[in-house]
Amino acid sequence: MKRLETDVVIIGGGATGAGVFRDCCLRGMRTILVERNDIATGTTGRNHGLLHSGARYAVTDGHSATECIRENRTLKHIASHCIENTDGLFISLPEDGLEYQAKFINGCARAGIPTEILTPEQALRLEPVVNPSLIGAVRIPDGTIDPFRITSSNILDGREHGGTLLTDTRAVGLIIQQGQVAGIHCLDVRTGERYEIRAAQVINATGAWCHEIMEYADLSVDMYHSRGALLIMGHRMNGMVINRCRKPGDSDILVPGDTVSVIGTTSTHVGRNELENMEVTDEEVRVLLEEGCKLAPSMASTRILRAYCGVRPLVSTSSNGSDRTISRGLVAIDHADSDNLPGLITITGGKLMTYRLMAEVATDMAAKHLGISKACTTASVPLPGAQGDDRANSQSWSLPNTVSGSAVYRHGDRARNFIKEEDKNKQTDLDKQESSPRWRNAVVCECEVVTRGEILYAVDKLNARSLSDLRRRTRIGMGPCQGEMCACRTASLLAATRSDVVSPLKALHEFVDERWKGVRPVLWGDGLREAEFSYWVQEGLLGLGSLKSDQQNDQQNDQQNDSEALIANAVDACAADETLSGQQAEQRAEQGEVV
Amino acid sequence: MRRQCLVIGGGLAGLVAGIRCAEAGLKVAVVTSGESGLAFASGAIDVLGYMPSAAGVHLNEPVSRPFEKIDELAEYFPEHPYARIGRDGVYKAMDWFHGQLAETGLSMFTASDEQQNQWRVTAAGALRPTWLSQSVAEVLPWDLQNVKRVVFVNISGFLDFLPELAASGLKRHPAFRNSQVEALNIELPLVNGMGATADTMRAPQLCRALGEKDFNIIASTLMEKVQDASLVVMPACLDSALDSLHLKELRRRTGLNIIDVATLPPSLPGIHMQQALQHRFAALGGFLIPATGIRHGIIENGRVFNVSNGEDLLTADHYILASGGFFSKGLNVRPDLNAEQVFSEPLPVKEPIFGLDLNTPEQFSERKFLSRTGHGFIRAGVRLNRDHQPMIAGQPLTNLHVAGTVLGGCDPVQECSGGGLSISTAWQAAAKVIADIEAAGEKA
Repeated sequence: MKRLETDVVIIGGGATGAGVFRDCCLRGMRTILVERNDIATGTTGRNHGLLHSGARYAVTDGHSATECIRENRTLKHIASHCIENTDGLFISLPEDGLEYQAKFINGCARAGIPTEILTPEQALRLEPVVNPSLIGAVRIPDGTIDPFRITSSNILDGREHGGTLLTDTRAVGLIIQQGQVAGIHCLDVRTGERYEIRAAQVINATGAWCHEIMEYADLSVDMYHSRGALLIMGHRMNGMVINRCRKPGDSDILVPGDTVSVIGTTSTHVGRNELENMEVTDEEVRVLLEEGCKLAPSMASTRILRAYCGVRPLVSTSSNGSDRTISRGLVAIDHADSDNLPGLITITGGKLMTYRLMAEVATDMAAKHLGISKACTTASVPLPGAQGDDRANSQSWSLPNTVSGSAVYRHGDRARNFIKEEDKNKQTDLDKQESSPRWRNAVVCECEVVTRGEILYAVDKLNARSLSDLRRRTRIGMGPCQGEMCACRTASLLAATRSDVVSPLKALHEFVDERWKGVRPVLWGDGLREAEFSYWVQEGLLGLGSLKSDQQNDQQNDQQNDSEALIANAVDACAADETLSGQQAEQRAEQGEVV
Repeated sequence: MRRQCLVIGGGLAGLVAGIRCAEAGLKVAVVTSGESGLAFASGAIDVLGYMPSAAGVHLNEPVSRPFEKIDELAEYFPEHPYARIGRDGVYKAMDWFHGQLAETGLSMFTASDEQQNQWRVTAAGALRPTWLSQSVAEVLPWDLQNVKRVVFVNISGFLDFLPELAASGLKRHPAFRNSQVEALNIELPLVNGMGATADTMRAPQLCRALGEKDFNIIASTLMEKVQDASLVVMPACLDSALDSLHLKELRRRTGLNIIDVATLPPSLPGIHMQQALQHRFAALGGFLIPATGIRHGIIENGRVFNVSNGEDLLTADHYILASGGFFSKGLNVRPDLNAEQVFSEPLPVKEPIFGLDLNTPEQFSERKFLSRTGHGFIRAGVRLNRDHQPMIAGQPLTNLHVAGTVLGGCDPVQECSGGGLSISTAWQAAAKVIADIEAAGEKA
């Protein structure tokens, strides 16, 4: 069996895992990150994208509020290309009263969050979409953060500092020898290949799924899985984040981001068996719209693009209480101390805002065991993309503002790696390898202004291996048309240039179904018009569905079942493996025997 | 001027209804809100490509002789619009339509046996059965035997044709497993493009940008690189006129079996068909009222009295509703956020102009977008009584006739039947209007 050796192996490619990856690499550890799907596909990719100021927690959870405002300032420094400094409003409606506002301002003061009290007229001038019946508003330094981009930037930096990313790779067991964790058993989900990664430290950064990894070592944790649903509106309605100034509740934050606005969230407890393939319910859509319209009444007549939901990885500290009362604080467990099982560290709880801090805490634990004294620098060294001011430079590119602006907005200073400049002396890697670089700036996705160059860059440098991966790296197919034409164009582009990494037809079908999953819960009005149009184009005009014959369909289902069975078998095999003595397992491994 | 017939909707069904009425000498107007679905259609006309079944369509058995299958279809699916028209009616309508197009200068061809379907190649490399094709007929044999080499040829940089995807798509077809299928991109100067590059163009712009030098390069490249190809598939961007002269000339010069297929929207073959039908309608004395969206109708004593765009009233003796599906706003769904139960099942589909009674599917959509079963919303549409009349709360409207996609009752996308359905239902609606007017005249 294949075996890799490293210092640290991280399980989980969400924001936290990516943060740990970067931190470990910057501190000089040999690091591998395994992710069963693509980066930012779990909780990270399924939230508001709110850069909290901490104000939301100022009254109920002072500790989280303090953490938030500190990280808020840090992230604005290290990840400027992933962040918009929009500021936010906490509005009080007649039904809320102003009593809470006083508590709120006190709480913010205690946490060190600056506030500015506004009159309703001032608030409306700043943010005209706000409910005009408001009786008061407070301005706080909320912002927006792109969760895909920040995860990708952390991964990129880690890889540029020697780290290895393995996506589509599932951890199916822990290697436990002589009472300590010595690595993981992996399964390459694409090829079905099983192998081992030997590591001195295993960091479990699987968030809401962390109990699964812990169970490989017969450990348990009391997770409280809280599901949150959100709606994406068809255009950007608001410039500033809008919150309700009351105890945190359902659907009381409207966050602008890129070209859209997101309203959320709900909060429902879900069992640990319900974490996969969650679909938004009609009731969730109803609550989100009803409450959302109180923040911004024009939402009632705005197109809804899609609905989605994620699950918060909360850790219960007491047996009673709903999730809104459980701390959003991070939970870091060094199992050497807590369970007498050296070699395993679990980092969970927390939230996107504190991903960097969580990463620092977990990396500190690993560093201590490895005897590495180099201090954490992730709070001061900017991420790739935030290392220069290319907003200014992009003005000199002979390109429409929409093209250069979108590229820089998404990739910061790294945009120059794929934008084709007229100046022949400035050659990028892409220039050298491409036969016809003059099509680099061709706009493939009009809604989000994604160019051919950006797509190829994401495949080559950002480990995108499918259209859905590309969506997370570039926003392709995220706009009003939901990838109706650009998905086909991109598939053809990949077939022409990168068919060794991506299987274009399969990727296209997967992408179309993934987009549809989010549209279906809100299938009415203009969204339905768009869906019918897409159906006529993709199925009627192009006949995409028939590119899978019945036989191939069946085969594909079998394959899917196969891969599920493969994972189940692999997990079982590993579990059996652990019952052998460490020495036996060692021998088997050395003989290269497949177990 | 008193109109005898007002057609609401200027898509395929609306224009066909208008032409049929005008041809019969009626004073007829077609009122249209804007561009129709024709602008993104393939430009080919399907009649029936796959037989529907309870669980979708039989994809493995394409229908080879569509008209002969209509009786069987009617037996199993009495609510299908074809069932109300019947085999002879559908054939008459389609044959008439073919004749009307011949008058416009837009050449369309059946297979050599005119009862037989032929293959349409798509820009993604799929094969769809169709009845009439634009510019060239029967480019592939129906049994798909002995097709040795297929080349998808694009203009470099043009984004709305998908040669590499098409090559891998066609390669998946069992009949092409041993064929050579590939993509070729030709760099062109685009002499009439005024410096703009192909990546910034949709098909109509690209068409205008091509000049003689470009055609020369295309011809010489094809002769040099793909001389032995059984079939060369190009994006439909060669001809701005209806006569396909450039394509014919390219075929003559190279001796190759070249076809041009509809690109991503907007598609030239679709636009050409729209132009041809509009010209024909005008030539027959029909009156087109553009940029006018009809918003509601006024009903009196079981008859449509007039219709309004919100400002002006339009009046006629008879009305034909050909307002299309959801995309064209002939149907809509808008949950009432103030209602007790916001999301009633099934979702409340409405026909917004008259508020006609509808058939709504139990299952509105499927979990997979490209589902073999087809989506319920595609089948939603106006319910007709035994006399083919639409109803409001069960009460029939005697001077309103319904045609095209707004009828629903089947899945034209999965069946490959969209063109035939629009044409034959419109032909039938117009025939009813003509017959009613004649009967009224005799009475008078």
